[in-house]
Amino acid sequence: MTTLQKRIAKPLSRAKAHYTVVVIGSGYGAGVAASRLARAGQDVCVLERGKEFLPGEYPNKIADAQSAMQFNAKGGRIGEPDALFEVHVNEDQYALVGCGLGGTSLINANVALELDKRLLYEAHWPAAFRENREEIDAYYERAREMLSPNPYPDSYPALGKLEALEHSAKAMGKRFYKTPINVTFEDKTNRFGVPQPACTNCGDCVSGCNVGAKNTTLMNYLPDAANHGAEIFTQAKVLWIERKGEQWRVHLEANGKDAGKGPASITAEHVMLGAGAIGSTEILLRSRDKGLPLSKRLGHGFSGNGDGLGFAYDSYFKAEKQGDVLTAQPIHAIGVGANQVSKEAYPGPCITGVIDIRDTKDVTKGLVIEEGVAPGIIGAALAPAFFFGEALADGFTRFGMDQVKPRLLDAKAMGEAFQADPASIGEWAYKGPLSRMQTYLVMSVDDSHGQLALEDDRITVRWADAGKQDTFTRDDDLMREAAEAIQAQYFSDPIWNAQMGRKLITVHPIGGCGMGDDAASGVVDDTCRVFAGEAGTDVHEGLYVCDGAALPGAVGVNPLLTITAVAERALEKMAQRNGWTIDYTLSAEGPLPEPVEDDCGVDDEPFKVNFGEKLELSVAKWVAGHAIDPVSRQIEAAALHFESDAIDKGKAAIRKLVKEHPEAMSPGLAFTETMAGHISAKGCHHRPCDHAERIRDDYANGAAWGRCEGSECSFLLTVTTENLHRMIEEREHRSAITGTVLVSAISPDPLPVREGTFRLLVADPGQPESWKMLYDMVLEGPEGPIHFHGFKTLQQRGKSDPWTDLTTLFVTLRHGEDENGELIGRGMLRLGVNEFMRQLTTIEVHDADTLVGHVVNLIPKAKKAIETVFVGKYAGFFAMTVFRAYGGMLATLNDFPKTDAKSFVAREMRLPPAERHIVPTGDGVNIGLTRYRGGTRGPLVLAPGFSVRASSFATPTVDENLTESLVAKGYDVWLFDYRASNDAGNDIERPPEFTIDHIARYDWPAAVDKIRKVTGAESVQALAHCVGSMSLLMGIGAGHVSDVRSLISSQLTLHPVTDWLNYLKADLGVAGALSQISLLDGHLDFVSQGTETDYEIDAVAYQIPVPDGQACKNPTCRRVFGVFGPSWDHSQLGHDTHNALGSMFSRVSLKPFEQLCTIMHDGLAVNADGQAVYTSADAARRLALPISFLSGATNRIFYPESGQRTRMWLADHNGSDLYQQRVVPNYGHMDLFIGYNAHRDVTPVILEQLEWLDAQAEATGERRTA
Amino acid sequence: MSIAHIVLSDLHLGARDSLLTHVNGADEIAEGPSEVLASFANALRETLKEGEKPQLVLLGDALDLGLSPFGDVSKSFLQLIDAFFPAEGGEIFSREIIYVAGNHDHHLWRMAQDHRFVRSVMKGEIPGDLEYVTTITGTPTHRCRMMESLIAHRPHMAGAHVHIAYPNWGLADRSRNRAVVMHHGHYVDSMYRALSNFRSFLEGSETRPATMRELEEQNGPWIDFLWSDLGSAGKIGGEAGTLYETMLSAGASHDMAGSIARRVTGGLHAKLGINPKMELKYGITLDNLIRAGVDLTAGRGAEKQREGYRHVLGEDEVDDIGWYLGTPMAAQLREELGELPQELHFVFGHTHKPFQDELMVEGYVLPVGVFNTGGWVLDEPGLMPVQGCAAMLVSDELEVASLRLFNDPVDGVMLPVRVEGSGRETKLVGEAAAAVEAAASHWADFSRAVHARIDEKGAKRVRRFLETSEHMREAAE
Repeated sequence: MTTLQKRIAKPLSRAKAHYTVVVIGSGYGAGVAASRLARAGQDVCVLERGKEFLPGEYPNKIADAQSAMQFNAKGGRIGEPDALFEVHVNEDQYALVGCGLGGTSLINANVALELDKRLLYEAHWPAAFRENREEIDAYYERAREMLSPNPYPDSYPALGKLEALEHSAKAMGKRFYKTPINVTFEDKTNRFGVPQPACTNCGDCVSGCNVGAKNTTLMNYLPDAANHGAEIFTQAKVLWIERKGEQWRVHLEANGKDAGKGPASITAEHVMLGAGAIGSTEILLRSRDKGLPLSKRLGHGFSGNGDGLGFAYDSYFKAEKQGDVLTAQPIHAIGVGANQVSKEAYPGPCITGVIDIRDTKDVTKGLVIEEGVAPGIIGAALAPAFFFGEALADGFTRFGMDQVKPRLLDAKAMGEAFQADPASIGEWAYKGPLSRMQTYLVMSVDDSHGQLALEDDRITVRWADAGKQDTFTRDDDLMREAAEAIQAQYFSDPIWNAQMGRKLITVHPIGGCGMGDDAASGVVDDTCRVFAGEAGTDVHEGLYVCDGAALPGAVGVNPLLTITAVAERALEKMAQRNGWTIDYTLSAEGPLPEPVEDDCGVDDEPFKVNFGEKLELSVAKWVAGHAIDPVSRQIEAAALHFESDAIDKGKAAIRKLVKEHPEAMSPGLAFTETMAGHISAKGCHHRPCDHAERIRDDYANGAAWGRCEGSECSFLLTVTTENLHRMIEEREHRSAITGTVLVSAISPDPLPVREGTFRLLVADPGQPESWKMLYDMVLEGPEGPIHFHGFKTLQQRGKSDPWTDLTTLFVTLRHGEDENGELIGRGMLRLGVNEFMRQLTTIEVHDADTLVGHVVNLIPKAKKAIETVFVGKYAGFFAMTVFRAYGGMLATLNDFPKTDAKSFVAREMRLPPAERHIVPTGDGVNIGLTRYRGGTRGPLVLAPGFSVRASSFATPTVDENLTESLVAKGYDVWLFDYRASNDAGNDIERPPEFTIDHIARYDWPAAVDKIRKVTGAESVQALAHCVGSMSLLMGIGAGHVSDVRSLISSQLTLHPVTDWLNYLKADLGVAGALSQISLLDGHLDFVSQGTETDYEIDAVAYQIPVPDGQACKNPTCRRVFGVFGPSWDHSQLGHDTHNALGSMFSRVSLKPFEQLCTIMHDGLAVNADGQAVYTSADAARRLALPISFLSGATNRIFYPESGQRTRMWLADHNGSDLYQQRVVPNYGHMDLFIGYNAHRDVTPVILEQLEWLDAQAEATGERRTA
Repeated sequence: MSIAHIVLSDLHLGARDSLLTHVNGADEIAEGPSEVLASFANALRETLKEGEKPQLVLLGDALDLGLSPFGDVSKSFLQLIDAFFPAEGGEIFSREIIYVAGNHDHHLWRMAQDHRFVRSVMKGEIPGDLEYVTTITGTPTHRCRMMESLIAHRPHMAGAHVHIAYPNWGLADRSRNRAVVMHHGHYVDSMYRALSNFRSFLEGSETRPATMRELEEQNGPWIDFLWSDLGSAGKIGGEAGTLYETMLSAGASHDMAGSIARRVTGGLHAKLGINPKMELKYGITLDNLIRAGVDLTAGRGAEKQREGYRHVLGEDEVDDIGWYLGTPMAAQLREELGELPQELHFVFGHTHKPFQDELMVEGYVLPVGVFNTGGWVLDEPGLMPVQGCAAMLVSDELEVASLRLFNDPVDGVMLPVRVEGSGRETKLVGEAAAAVEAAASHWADFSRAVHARIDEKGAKRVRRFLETSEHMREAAE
């Protein structure tokens, strides 16, 4: 590693007990104070709570990200207190500030813009500023002299992101220009003697410039102060200050785990607070609590400077079409970090341009939109985040059909990469859609009504509903407009959404010690002197706040230049008052010095592995059942790589080992979760009824009553899995729970968990695309055990979203050890954002007494590699399930059901051997018959719906299928594949062309004849569904079919009444249109073959609306719904059945759709020529046989009215005794036969009707004989 | 404890589709109560304790003024009086009837408003405006002259009163810190707040009326126009009734959509010389597109109407209840009672889908018990399980329980009449359930009568649609 720059900070132990000036902080305001006062010849001490980072020391890998973060959250800090990035976590307003020598200047985008001077009135600046608005200009100039802002030079490479922003500005008709930025674009030693190489365009400005090109205060004001004798101390955190006689006493403590001890306090004549809006206010609030008289305005007037964030993803603003292929050019707006990135993909400095929309009539409605660069350190996390974001947003078609295909193919490639090789996600930050991503940073004018306060000695921002200010909606609208101008999918700030409660995050905290004309209106005066007390203009001698805290309101633009200028002004006035002279002359710039080699790698201790022959023996314990030798040899090989410092090879060897022996190599994992809410039994006495009759459930009611009664329930649980691999592989995904649960209704003390099981995302067998997280525990109650059952449901329904679903637990607590005891209460527990962040930090990979632990002991360097693989696996399993549940069109195109169906292991069926018959019909096309000899009743022929295989009546995906039930009752069952099925024995590549008339005329007679012939029966019974049913009614009516003695006619009759969408398709002539689309080649597939054409078909099918609650991500399902309409009620399908739908459908010719369309359109079974030949009086007479019409009450494809109409029509001709109609509540269409609980809810109805039909047929027969 | 009030809504007296309207074979209004009404009155009488004479609360749409002729409605109302207050004795209710107007009979409230105004004018005063809403609590000061005049046709009913309130009426018990409020329910349905919604849309805001007065001022005239004025407009009103019915049937909607489309395409051809069979692309013609467009608008709209039968209340409507109780209702309760009652029950109808549940509403201390009274008309020939009817029982201690009378008999199954609570345990639910149980055989008679009537009505309607469908097809060919 090479460093040019020298450290300027000293250890705190070397601090003196007294200085004339103590400067607290080291950002812009503090930097100005330190430099100016040192130049004025004062004895200056600078106290900075963070560390000194030199270029090259800033974090740049995702692995460093966690240790570089600290979260200042309620309930305690997460992370180290001297970590570079500090996030203040609050209810509504978050803030991100820098922690290190240079303050937030280390992590900002260093944009040096002036504020709109009209704001000096709006934000109620002191009279000095209001009445002399031009005065500040000189100080702006002085600040610029020090910070050296300049626009991105024309001599540098053109930047895609800059071009994109300009494009947006033009489209929006707004002003665009390049921002002045404090960045050095040529190699030099600056005027403060700091060597600064030219910017490399790496884009990592905001994670700390590792080049040294960014002009942070560590490059100018601070070294300038040091050059003039100021003493700078790091890891020194100031707590409070007090007045002691003529002096100030500054109380401080060492900050950070490796911080050296120093004095507990330092005295000074002058104290310059420059710890930032939040830091300076915190110190003064604490000082006031300890007796320092200060203005009541202290803490008030806090502003986030109207900071907003947004993203334009996958922009096609520069796209070229060659033939059919549309290619879009990259924008490149992700920092390079530690990744290998080609020079062309270097994004340039974080912010280089601005859309300036501050020329609004009302100055408070102005804003700036700047393009930003996401730092490379988080690059790897961005690809999956945006992939999921895009999936959830589901907006692939909004940019026109031309772009659908390339967008989808990119998304597909990303999805496949994540599943196949999670390690490759880092690469996706610089190619594909992410390379066409633009980040927007907005600054605007919020109402500055936030309040900083100490809560349990922690500084918090109180600002109820801050994010609901109109400002942010306006900001968001304009960012969306900018994104749409470059044909990109717009994403708002992910925490600024309704589910998260419209939280805001600012990187520009302002105010808290705002200026005013007196103590009633401000905390400091216009020259930053702190008012002494609550009224009047008296000030504390020698106490200043000279940073962003002193600004009285939002500045609507990057505030650094204004903060610096205000501080320069205050320091000039201070010197004048004290009779000091500040020497403002600067030295000349010089060339860059020669690099000096730093001796690096000293901390890498020599590494030696010594195995001997014991290795095999030592691993034997964990490799039981496997060959020991290969494992030990692989371990040895890996160890040797690490030994010889071939780290990557070592990691690869470890990955291979993990891949080949996942279970043996799997570590365990534990995390701690805390959730809280309310429970009660009070609102839970609703008698069971259909869910359609509830507007709330017992959980919501229990929680509501619990809140009223103050009946709390919360827990602190540790979920431990011994072997991650095993946990993920097994179906139930079980882990153990330990910890305590508070049930205030039972005891004021938390109850220990006696035993507990956590199941992670178990597929609900009775529901498609629904996963549950289950918590089952037995608690030690004071008077016996208590049973705790909790579940979270992951399922896309109505307004559900993954965040809410994953953080809401529905609980039931009962006395006793199981689910039968007396109810204590029901309710809902929630996980807040803070608790969630804390939970992430508790994830612990443990490997004691496992092979992996053993390997780690042998090769400590392998630990990280192994942990990465398994944490990735855990996260991958989790993320993929979330994706399956909420991933919209993208998840649909991923066709998870197909993958699942492949691994489905069919159960043993309770059926006699199948007897297959392929029978040619009168016109030469074949039909298929499959016989299950269940006994002497029947023979009963079962005909399915159009293009459905008859084997769907015998699906192994339900516990008991209809064929099994019928066989068990002694029926001789014949499954009938008419010519619309792939199992009919015809060419399935090019299925036969036919009309519905053909089925009625040829297929049914052939089937009935064959069955009669084989069985010797005189007549058959039929149970026919949908087109099977209609075609049979047509066949009998037209006189083609005889010898059917009774019939269950399911759903579709001669008088179809269907839903608007089918009418629409019929009226639109979709069938005719389809046949003209060459893509389809005259036939229709319901199963995707995974080709690009299939992708297009699925993308179109996905757009066809489905009724509420019926949207799923199974492409077969989407196609079926798209072509036929809502063919089942999803709530009745089991998980396995829904996955198996692809196996139930056939490729069919498009020809029959023409007749089907005419039939739907007319609401009558007409022939292919449109003539009503099947509903004549003769037809009615021929249908004088017992018929039971079967309908699903919630059928949306053929309403029960279809059965009602045909039944009425027949009854008018033949009397009503022959006909019945049964309506099955809560069932739709085909779910009558493939529903998860159909054997319980539907089959009994069918059996009953078969009995009734038998009785009727007999009676009719008798009447006839008589 | 005793039953102090019984709340019924959506009787739609006079409508042919009301299960209560008694018609003869010629489809004319008959004399005396229908079998359904008679058996209902009888079972109720058998259920009430000796000497218990609850107050009858008619919670809107009792009279089908919007869509049926006034004469039919009036005769049908007398059938109700004859059932509940027979001349030969055995009156079920007290003679002080409370009437809360709904959307179909908003006209009655308009009459009361006008009457009050005219009376003031006749006394020499000129009030600033009509009285838009009444107080929630206390006996309403307006009287329903139309109903009282009809009751006067029954001499034995001398001294009976019908007090009219709008849009809410309620009961409060300060010592128990409990209240029951009742509203027909149309303001929980965004369609009836159309003008308020339109106004906020124009203003680009989501603000909704803050007070009952604002709500009624903005939307009352629209309701009048939509229902009452259409109803008395003879033939148009008749068509409106059929249109609504039609929208509820998929097949009938499609037939109607087809005829609309035919008129559009016919017009194109005749007036503009455009051939609707002109092919546009993929064999799709202009005619196809026009038909599709009609499906997409009219058909889909009708679908939404039907879609409602999959649940008793949509998510948005539940939110609307929260708004109604939390904003205008809370404002008025605070004004009248000084503060919000701790325990509140809300009774409404309008949806024809009875249910009872609890709902946490912002501003209230405890969850609100929410009860829906369902209705007595047959909206859907397909028989949707959530459609049905209930009567609300309110005790003298202001507990509320739902007497669940019937739901559409899907697959021929009709659950017995029973009492249900909102989810909390109350004395009333227990005691009323026992009383209903004791009168089970009478309630079984009622269930049988309802079942038979529904089957008969359903069949009649399917036949009508089947015939219409055939007509339309013939017309098309």
